Amino acid sequence: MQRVLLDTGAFLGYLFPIEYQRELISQHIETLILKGVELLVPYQVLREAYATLTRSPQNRGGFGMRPMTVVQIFRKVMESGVFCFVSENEDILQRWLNFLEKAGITSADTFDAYLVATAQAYDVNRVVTTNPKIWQRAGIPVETS
Amino acid sequence: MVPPHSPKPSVGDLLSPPVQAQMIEAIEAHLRAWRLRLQHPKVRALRQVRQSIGALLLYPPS
Repeated sequence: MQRVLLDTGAFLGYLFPIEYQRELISQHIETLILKGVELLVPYQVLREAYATLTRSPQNRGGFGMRPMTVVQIFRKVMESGVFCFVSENEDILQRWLNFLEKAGITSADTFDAYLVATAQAYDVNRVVTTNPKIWQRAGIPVETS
Repeated sequence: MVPPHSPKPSVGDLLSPPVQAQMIEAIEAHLRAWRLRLQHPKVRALRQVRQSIGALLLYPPS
């Protein structure tokens, strides 16, 4: 079975298809579901999505949502059983450190670097992302809409 | 040059019957694929999640 990882932009794109590019992502994810692809969502994506959804709209385009609402949304997504939420382990940690060192990652790129390490650890075939640069640096095939 | 008061041509006037038939077939195929998509249990589950998100945004928990 093919494994595709969703990054935070893709995950939020599906849940909130409020603009054209997000609607395209949304349709793309549904097409992957129809093809029987396993959709992996790392815990890191939930943390990043939570940060974006609860951040104020004046602060880097946050959604300004209340914590309770976001938690309810996450619970509903988990209950749907559509995504495979992948846990963290020592292997990911070691891969993350190696990638930080090898690629010279700085600043907030470390969050995406952690997703790269997760993708490598779970041997994913491709990644659905709105930010392909870091994935291309890691040599992981990307799908963008 | 089109005379100013001539009636506007309809789509049927502009497209030959075979082209019209092809267009209708393409639209019907698209609709069939769309219905098939909605029948998939996981797609339905995700659509339901999105609907409930809409409800949560309209009526946030107190």
